[in-house]
Amino acid sequence: MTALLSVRGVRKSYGGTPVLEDVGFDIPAGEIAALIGANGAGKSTLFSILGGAADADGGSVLLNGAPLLGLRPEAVARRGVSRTFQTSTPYRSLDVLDSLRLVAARGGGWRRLTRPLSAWPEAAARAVLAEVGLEALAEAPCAALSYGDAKRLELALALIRDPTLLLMDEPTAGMAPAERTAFMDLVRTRSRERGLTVLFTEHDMATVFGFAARVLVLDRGRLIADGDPAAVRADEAVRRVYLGGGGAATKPL
Amino acid sequence: MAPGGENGGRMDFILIQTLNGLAGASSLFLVAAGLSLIFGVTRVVNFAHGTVFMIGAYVAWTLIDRLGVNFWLAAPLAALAAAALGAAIEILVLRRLYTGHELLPLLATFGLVLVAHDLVPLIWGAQDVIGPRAPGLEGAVSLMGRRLPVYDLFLIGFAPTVLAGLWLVLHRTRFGRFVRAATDDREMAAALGIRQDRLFTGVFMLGCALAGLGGALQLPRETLHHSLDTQVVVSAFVVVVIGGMGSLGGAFVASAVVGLVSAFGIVVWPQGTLAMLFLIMAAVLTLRPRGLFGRAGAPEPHQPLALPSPPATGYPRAARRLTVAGFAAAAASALVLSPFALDLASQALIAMLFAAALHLLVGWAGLISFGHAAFLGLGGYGAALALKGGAPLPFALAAGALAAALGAAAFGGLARRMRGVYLAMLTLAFSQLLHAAAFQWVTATGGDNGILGLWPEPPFDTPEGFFLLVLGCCAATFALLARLYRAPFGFVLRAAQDAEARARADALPVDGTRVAAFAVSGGVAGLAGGLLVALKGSAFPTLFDIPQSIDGLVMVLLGGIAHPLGPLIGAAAYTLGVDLITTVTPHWQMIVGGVILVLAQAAPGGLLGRAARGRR
Ligand SMILES: Nc1ncnc2c1ncn2[C@@H]1O[C@H](COP(=O)(O)OP(=O)(O)O)[C@@H](O)[C@H]1O
Ligand SMILES: [Mg+2]
Repeated sequence: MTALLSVRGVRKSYGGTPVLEDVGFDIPAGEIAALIGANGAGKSTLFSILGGAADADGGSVLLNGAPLLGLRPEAVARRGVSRTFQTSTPYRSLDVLDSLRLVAARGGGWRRLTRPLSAWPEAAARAVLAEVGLEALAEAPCAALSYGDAKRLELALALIRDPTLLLMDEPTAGMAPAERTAFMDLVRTRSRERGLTVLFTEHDMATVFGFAARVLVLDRGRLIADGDPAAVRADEAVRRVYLGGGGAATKPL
Repeated sequence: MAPGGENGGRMDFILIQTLNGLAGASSLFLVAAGLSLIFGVTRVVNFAHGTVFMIGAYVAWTLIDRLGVNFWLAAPLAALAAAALGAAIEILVLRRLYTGHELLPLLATFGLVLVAHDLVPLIWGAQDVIGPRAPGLEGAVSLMGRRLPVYDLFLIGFAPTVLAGLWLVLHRTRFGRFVRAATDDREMAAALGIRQDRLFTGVFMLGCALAGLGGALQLPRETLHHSLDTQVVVSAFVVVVIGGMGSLGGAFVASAVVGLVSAFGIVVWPQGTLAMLFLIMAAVLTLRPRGLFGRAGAPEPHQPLALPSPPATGYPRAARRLTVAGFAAAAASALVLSPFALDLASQALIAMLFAAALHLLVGWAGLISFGHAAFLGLGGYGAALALKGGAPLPFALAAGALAAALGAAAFGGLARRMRGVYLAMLTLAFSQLLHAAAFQWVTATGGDNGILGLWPEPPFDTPEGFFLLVLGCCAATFALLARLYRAPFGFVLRAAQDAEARARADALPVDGTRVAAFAVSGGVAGLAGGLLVALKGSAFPTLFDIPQSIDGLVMVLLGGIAHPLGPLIGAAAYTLGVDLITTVTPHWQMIVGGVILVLAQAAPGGLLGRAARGRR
């Protein structure tokens, strides 16, 4: 059984300070996995490396057996990896529909220079807008979206290319519990329907244990636990460094 | 290489020129250190820094020559005067501009340069001034049979002393801690509770004091004249960019490099020295995009600021209709306007083409160019050579535009990792290299004498015919640009400017589209250059001049960078305005500079700034 995503021995340091040390794990196709860890543990850095936005100092990352490290972010994206960012950054000078259409407008050769964006197909954009529940805001400027709607638009942008792997960095941070569940339900539905593989970081333990089939725990750049939620919750090391102190996750869900 | 034989020995030549170069590097370091400090803390590229240097030198000269003050007292007094000037610049000119477009402070300091350009000769006269000797250090020492001024030795020792002093100030004082915090980490600076207004004023005073001192100390070595300002600021830019923005150690090393290259270049290859410096800068930037000592965490070159720079909504229908109506009216006016007015109108239209080309990069793509004259010149010389070879004008124009587009695409490809001020400096370097090439390659370009007698054939040889040709070129170009902006091409540029990481993660072809934007922008600027050459009947290396590039930026910002029609309105207003002012007074630079200063305060979004905001 080969994994969809296979990470081995990934290292990274900033100015001599190690941020990631020998990180390795496998994620099989179709799985939803959560990456948890305190602030500064290196989660976002790992996502940047997987997405091609940062260079690792060593190690390897394989997607369906093909190496990803060293590729530019665009090339990683073209291989079927989508990502959302910890701080959402919509295209503030575009409107919602245009930004989706733009991401969906592939190929076209010279017509990319001359054919108005408004004449490019919009079915895919409309469909993904409906999927994330933003139909009513199709014509809204991205800069005017509320926090939660901006997160949904980011998800729509990530889904419109029909990726095989979705990386989400703290997708539900700052959302109310009901909104969180609704948001993650969207992701889970997509995963079930099209076999989308998901790796997300999250601080809310209810969301982690409610949606992830697998939990990876990062502590100061080291992966200290990797397994199904129940096993991770029971893990001594994890309790000590992360879940300890009577936090939400120590209580039964 | 070195003409060692006739100078009697190679070793002593090398030694003397090395010491000479290091002495010259000393005041360059002072200027560059100030520029770097100011940029590090305020993110303002102070174009007026060379002006402060020059004024510092003039103040010192006045104190010495007119008031009989001792040189060693006059130099620190000049530094104080420069510090006061720095405070005035920060408080009166820049303070309200920090939240606007990142180019706005640059524009304002350029306004200061223009004002000073006319004001300084009025105050101190237009003739060269020979500086006094430094009392006590008039003599020379003998080194390997050659004579070296003692003052040069003093300067060589002075630069490291200043570096050490600055290091102490930065690491041992409260002010220094704030400066470092603001340079490295703006959020941390805010968390420390630093009062930005005082810190900015303080750093401007320190930076300008260094420049003023540099000017005063250069007096005994160099004749003083009123066009020293641009020369000095451009060298200082080169130093700061090679060393790394915000790094004093970098400025120190880079000023030594620049000083040495200049000292040896003067002897070995005088005309090529400037080009050589820019070549070194380009090489450093290609290998180390943040300069030799620029750190990753340190000054982000591109800081997205409050005012959205890309045009908010494509080319709106109303703007297109307005443009079409304007063109129809312009074409009709060819029947009634005088030849003189037609000539001026042609000039304005050519300026519009150039400004629109620059706007494509600066406004739509968010890529700053300080050297767009490179492409104006490529197109101009391309067309000139084709005309000289007997090609009909339309063909020559196409050849020039193509040459410029190819040059721009090659440049855009090489510079694709560069952003912000670094990219701006690289474009400047490119234009300076081409300037040197036009100057040097006499067989093809005629060098300084230019290419003359390039008169268009009928029907373009009359003012009406030529005007209609220019108008046609404009109409075709603007229609093409409007199309591009509404197509994925334009949207990719905007998306990448809004959120580059996001755009790449969404698999948008950011790099390719930016290279294409360079090509189109270069082609349009090249077309403008070809038309300019045909209008004037000649091509000179001045086509590549820095002021040409800056004029373009002024036009774009004047009209309003956030509005699709901004560059057109700005170019028309600037061309006609300058023409009007030059008929009234020879001091047009002072007036234009003053208008820029007032507009930067009163209408920071440009003439169409309000309209651009209303449409969002
Ligand atoms: N560009 C960078 N330069 C220097 N240090 C960085 C950079 N990015 C992240 N770090 C450091 O790496 C560590 C991990 O950061 P990050 O990956 O953002 O953690 P997380 O996402 O788990 O909160 C932190 O200590 C952070 O300060
Ligand atoms: Mg993070």
